[in-house]
Amino acid sequence: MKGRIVALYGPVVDVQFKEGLPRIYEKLITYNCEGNKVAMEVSGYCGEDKVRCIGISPTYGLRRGDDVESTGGPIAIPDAASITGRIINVLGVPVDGKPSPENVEHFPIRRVMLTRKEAVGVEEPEMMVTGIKVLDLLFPLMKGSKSGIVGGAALGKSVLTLEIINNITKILKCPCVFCGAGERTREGNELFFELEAAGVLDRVAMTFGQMNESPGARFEIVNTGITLAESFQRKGEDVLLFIDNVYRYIQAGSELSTLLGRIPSESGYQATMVSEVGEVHERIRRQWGASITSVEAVYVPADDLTDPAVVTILAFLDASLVFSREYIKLGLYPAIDPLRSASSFMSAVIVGDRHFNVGQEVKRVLRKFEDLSRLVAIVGLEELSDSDRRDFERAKRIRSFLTQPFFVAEAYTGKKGQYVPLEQTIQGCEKILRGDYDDIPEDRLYMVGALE
Amino acid sequence: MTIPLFEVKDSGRIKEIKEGILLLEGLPTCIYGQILKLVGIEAYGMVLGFDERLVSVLPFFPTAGVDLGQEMIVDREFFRLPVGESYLGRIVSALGIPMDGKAKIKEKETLPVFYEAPGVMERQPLTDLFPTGIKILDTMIPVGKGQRELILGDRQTGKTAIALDTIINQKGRGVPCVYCWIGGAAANLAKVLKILTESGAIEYTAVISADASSSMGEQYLAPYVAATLGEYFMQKGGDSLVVFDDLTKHAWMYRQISLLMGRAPGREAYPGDIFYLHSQLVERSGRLSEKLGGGSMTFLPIMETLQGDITGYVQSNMVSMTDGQIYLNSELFNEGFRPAIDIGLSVSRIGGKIQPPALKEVSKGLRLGYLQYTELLRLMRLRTKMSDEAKEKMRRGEALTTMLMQGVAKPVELVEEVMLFFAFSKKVLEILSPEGRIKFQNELMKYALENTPELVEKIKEKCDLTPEIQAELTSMFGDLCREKEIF
Repeated sequence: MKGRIVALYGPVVDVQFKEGLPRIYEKLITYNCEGNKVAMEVSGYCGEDKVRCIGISPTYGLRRGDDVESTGGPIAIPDAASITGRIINVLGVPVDGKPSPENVEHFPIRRVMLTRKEAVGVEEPEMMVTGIKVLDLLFPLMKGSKSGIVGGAALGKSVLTLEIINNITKILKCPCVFCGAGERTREGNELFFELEAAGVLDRVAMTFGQMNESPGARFEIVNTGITLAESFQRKGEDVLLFIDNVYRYIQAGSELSTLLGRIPSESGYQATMVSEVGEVHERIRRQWGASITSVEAVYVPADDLTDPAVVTILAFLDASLVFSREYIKLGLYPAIDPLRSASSFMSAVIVGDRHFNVGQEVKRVLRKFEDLSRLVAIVGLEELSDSDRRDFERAKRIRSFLTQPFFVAEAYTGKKGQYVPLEQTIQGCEKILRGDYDDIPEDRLYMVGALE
Repeated sequence: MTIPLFEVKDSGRIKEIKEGILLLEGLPTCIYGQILKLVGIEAYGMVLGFDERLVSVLPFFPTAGVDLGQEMIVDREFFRLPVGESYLGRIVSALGIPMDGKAKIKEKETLPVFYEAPGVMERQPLTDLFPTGIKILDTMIPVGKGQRELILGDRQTGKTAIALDTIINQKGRGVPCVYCWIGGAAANLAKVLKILTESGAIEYTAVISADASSSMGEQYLAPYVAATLGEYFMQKGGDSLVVFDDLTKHAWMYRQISLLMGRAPGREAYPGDIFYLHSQLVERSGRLSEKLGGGSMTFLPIMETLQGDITGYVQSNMVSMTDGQIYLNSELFNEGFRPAIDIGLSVSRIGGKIQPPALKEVSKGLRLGYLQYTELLRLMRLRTKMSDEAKEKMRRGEALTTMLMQGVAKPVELVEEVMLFFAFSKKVLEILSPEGRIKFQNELMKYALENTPELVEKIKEKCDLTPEIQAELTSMFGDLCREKEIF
């Protein structure tokens, strides 16, 4: 089918067709005045002979009256197995300078199911040990779960993500999909070389729709990422899916919504936000006998945890790791605030009594520490009762012990990365809580791995 | 009669003027991003979009002087800017028109103003330090070649000074600089120009000016034009620096345009694509892969905070897209700590890996030590008793504070930074009296150049602290203190 451009506002393009109309989500192709290919996706109809499209490629240089060709289906991307160790864009085209894989199956990134057939599978709780002390102890990563890494700008979300990939792919040999949505291109470049250096590149398929790309690309990239993960699932492989950053997906949706002239909802977000977030999260599920474990970085605009987009995303997640600016100021990395974070898997039934009890005790002393430190700031440490003072000192040591040098952050910290087995983490905390380390200055527990 | 094809230019007539946006009829084959020109006048506008009847144009001139029915013709199909060396030392408008009364800029080579940022594999990791000459930055918050580091702070805290010092420090390094002035008073730009001229930095700096008196369109356009110029130098394989002063005003201007175009307001009334406005800009910086010449473009965008709130909407957006921020604190500024950089809240995401070995060595632990010292200072207000360990930390902290202070337009050479912080790491400074510390700092470089020039050369060359160099440095410190009577 051939049509022509009749109207354009930024990334929104109206195309008129003489005979028949393409379906919603169908990919259309045209060329700009400098001869570059421009892909668009149908987002709706306007009138009987026109479709409204969003540009997946930049729409600069598109001319009024130019020809547009429909491709007969949605964007389709190659099987993840054919592009592991490589990078594709939202359209499934490799962007690493190497040729496209040939003769491989392609999957559409949008699957429209008018009726739902299969039932949702239940996951047996199975813990994936990350070797990161604070995660394993308090917020265990479970197979098939969805975890959020929540925090404002520059708090270290991406570093934690990288460390998890590094540790999980090396130890569990799980294939991994990294979906870069609306973040820095430089980070994508570094991720590639870091994964290569860590020797795990061949287990990771990557797709990027970064912050310089059109809102259409940043919006659809999440679907491209999930489709990649699904193609591992189709072969019965459990897969780890990283989305960095899922907030950018909503942000791109909100840009599109204003550009499409829709009435905005709370704080200017799109009216369709909840269903958009639901749509992608419901796609991340057990299928073909295999699971997807997703870890999603969630950016918090203006450090406001009550932002409607953040609240909506969190509603779909099983665990949330909240990063704190206060911790950064104190030099505590990873800056996860244990008291603001939560996990629905932290129960004795799932992790066992000992793990659960140590975790609870750690949270208790940290909670007490928060109260006491306000008091100490006013009256001084000397005025505390002996038991309070003991808890105060032990909490400080726990806080130090839960910091950790990361493999992927060696360049920043100048310290060698440390993988800590779960048993060592639990044991270390037990010892500190018991008072074995009362006489040792807290700096000695700062940025170390397991305790000697 | 036949008309030769090349004489036919697509044209349209102004049908409506809607609060600074022009609506034209005609232009059947107009292009998004195309540049139009008023017939007979050097006044331009850019196509923002079109529907079946009308074409929206953002004018780069005041609309008050325009008549309905006036004709506009196509000037350039795709918005390309002539680029080249001749911009250096000049002051031009957002459209590249000279604002310094000198000759028109003539360059043959052009680059698209809305250039697509280099892709994932067209880049390479940042490995080299971009020396700012500011001690706090080079040691604790190092900026890499190809990095974008946001300068953030309340008004009157010295944001522009940091950027200017960095430009001044590029003297003799062959790094062309672009300084982009957006939405600020023309009188303040004049002050900036004076500093650039007096320091001689103007010779290798191009100034793009879209001051508050210029049209809304020019203010929107200016940063993209500045980036295009920086890209020219990057693509030639060199290093370039672009300063945007400042992007808060740019965001305000874009909000104004969006609201005038009837787009729905979002948070703080900014439009939905306010993030994209800046993200497509800052992503253009970076370091190109060796295949593309290995050039780099470093960005120093400036943004203003309100009452020290770094969690403001556009500010935190910018923080989330840059590779770190330099936060200037008005309290520190008032206390006399200059540059008023809040070390706790400032960060470089690239980190120490780009520092040359010697600098990295002497910078180790500085940040943590300084933060512990400020924490101790806070606690000291309440407690009088101090352990010996705390006393030691206090002494070191005091010495460090003296060393970190620095005057405006006095960039410090890398060698001097290495020597100074090496002295600190060897605890030379903390045994000196407060006056002694200042004197030691002031005399160090001069003394080293006069008495041990070959040592200075050695550090410059290798930028590594071999045991031999360390020994020589230590003995030089001793001599200096003795001869100049520093104690």
